[in-house]
Amino acid sequence: MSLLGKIRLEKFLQDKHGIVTGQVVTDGKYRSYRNEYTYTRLEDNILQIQLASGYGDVLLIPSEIPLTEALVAFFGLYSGDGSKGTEDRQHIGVIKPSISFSQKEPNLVKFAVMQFQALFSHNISFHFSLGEDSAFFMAGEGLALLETYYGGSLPAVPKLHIVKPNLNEKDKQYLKEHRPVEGTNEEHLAFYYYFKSAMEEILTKQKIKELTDSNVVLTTQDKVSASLRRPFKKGARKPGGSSRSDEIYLKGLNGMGELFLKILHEIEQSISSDEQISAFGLIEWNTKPSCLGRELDIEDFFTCNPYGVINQERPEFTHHGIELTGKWPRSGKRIKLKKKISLDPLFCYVSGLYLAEGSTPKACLFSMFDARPEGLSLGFTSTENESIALLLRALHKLFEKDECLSTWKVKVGSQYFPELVVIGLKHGVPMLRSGESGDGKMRTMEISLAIKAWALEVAPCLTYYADKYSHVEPTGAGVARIDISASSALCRWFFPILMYAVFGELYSVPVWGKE
Amino acid sequence: MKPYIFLPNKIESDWYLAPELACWLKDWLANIEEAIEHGSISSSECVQGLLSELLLYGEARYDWLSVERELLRDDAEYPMAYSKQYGRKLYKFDKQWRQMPVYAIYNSFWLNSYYGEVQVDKYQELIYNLIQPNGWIYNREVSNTQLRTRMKSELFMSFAMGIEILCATTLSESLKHHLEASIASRALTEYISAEYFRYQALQRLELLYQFPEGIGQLLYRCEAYEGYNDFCVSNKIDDYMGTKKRTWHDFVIPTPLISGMAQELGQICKEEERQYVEAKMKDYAEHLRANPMKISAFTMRDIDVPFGPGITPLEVIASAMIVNKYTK
Repeated sequence: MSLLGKIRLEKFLQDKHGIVTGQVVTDGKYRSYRNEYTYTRLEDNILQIQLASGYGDVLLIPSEIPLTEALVAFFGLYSGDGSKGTEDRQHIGVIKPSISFSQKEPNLVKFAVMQFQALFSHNISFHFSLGEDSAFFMAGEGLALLETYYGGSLPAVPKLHIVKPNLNEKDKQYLKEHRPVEGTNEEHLAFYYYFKSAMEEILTKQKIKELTDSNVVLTTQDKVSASLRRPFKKGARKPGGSSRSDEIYLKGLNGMGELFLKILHEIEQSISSDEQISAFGLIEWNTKPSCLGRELDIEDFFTCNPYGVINQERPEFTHHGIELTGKWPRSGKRIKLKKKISLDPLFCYVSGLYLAEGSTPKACLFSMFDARPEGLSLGFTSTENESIALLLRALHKLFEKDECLSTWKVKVGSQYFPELVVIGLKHGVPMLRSGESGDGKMRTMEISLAIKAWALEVAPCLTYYADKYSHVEPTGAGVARIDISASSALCRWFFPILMYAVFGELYSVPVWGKE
Repeated sequence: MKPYIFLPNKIESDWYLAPELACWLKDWLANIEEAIEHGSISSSECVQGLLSELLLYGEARYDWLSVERELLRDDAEYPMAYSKQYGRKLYKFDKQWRQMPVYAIYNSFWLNSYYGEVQVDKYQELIYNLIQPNGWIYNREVSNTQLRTRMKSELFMSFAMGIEILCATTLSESLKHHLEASIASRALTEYISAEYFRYQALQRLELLYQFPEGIGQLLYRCEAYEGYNDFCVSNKIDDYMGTKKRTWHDFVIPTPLISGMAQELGQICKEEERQYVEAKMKDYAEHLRANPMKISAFTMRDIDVPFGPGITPLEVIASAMIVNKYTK
């Protein structure tokens, strides 16, 4: 295990008088968090930490926690897929952080579990939850599962007033909404309540199977559950459609969210500013982060390392003076590469972040070593300059600056379409889109150009690539976010090193879960 | 000569314009003229250039007609939304700049009409070819988005623009009935701009009695500070799934352009609603006169960066229209 630095919990709590506070930007909102802790040093450098208020759990944790490549990558992963907390309705602008994690890919779930355990030792247990739109069970695969559950055919669904005589407020709101799907809201709601427990049972069994298949050992304290949403409420737009969400909740860490969030922010900040000691002293790297980490010789890695293969093939290299170029079998493009790369905190953190937020299908990243990868692409979406800047810096460690980004655009969720319309009207143009559902390219250039100015101010790290801006893409839901992509030819070089940075010290060969 | 469809009234040469706005508009025009030297212009900029000069000088000084004919036509002389050079402002927009949406046809029609050199039948033929089986007017080659999820303001805007061109000569009864059926089948939307363009279309078709119920309440819902926003932020609904959006973090902005549209719609409200709108417009006019540069841009929640522009030529003209109408 190469140690990159440490988390100085005791020193930090001592210096800050146990007060942990900070600010997060989530979904375009500034929110603060704050909590006060007390701590006692026990034997063997173990700290006993709890909230000063006396509420919450008591945490036993080393006074200093070593930062490994995997743990740094895990914080990158959490930065993308982890919960930053929920807004306190009593105090707008304040969040109550909770530690939970959204991820479906079984190997990443296992990795997250391992890192949570490494960080919090035996204080914790897990609650694995699977959420799904109940429309999934109305056709296709979901319906087949439900029919099997009932021995071949579904019982007839009684009328809503029989299934659910007393409707709650959410039910009443649901009935008022208009949906362009076959059947009435009353029928859909009756389906939901009538099959709710059966659907939950099916999904819970499915989740348990996925966890055991990926060698996650469930203890008696761990819990697996499923929850169903009302049909077509979120994501699923037709019967059989899926809108699955997988969450890992941690038990035993009640009240520790602020401390966890602070560790995450201090790691990211010190990597971003390349400082040995983080701004508030919680993180201390062994030296300046950019001077740390195992150094990989690129040619050696792709010639000898078990991770340096794709579909069991290796690339060939050519030297032109001091330049190194590489080419994969059957690939048309020869790529200019740096000769060496260090697995420094930046690269490890970005590797985790990309696993969470990158556009590449997760399963592909795990199967590419043995199987022919299909549709490899390198893309990343974020609302924050910091994340995009870190990814570009990590890519630049391996590739020429001009190669690191091929095009970028701004994605805007349907919630902000009315704003886009007004921006168009201010320019005397309507909002026109390609694609039958409208989830395509903005055809009105004036709107795309108006949003370019916004994006460059939000993410100044893209200024160098300003002329690679392509368009606004009205799609999905949520706030405007910046989407960058690089040539797919880079994937075969970047992804094996990324996987090695995250998993290399856990699995000496990329054969998952068998070591 | 009819007013430009975005504006309820004609621009008058004796209108007061705040010096700051005049200065802003002159800078904008200088930039546009510089861009034209490099062959870069859009159809909307071309019309706004002419409108800006009418506001600043009471006459067109630049030869916008030549600009339109030389840079905003394709080889077959069809009006285009963008010049080839303008299309290069976006990376890999490929040949997508070569597009003929309804507004490009309308802009060309209006501009040529201004100069008294319009071939009405040519434009009418273009519009006839864009009337869809559902009765709406749009170019599917530019945007094939289904009716349900098309932006309402675009739908009504393109319709109103098409109607203005078609109504330049006498419309056949059968076509009028076909168009009437389409517009009469759409209930009130949640957008002032969409209803304004509906109003423009119905007025030209002399079918104002087909205006749906509830416009006064819509205007009330869309009030934003001193003026009007295009939509009521708490009523944002997902067009596809019908679900309400979680909007408590979103902001509204008043804009002169939308407020001008609201004022025009106020004319067809009940008398007490009309008077209420008029009173609000007087307040907004005072506010704009005292704070001419305070034409806001949206922001994306807390991110303190303008999401799109605040001031644009159309906003300046709309502001001048309101100030001159309601203040001395």
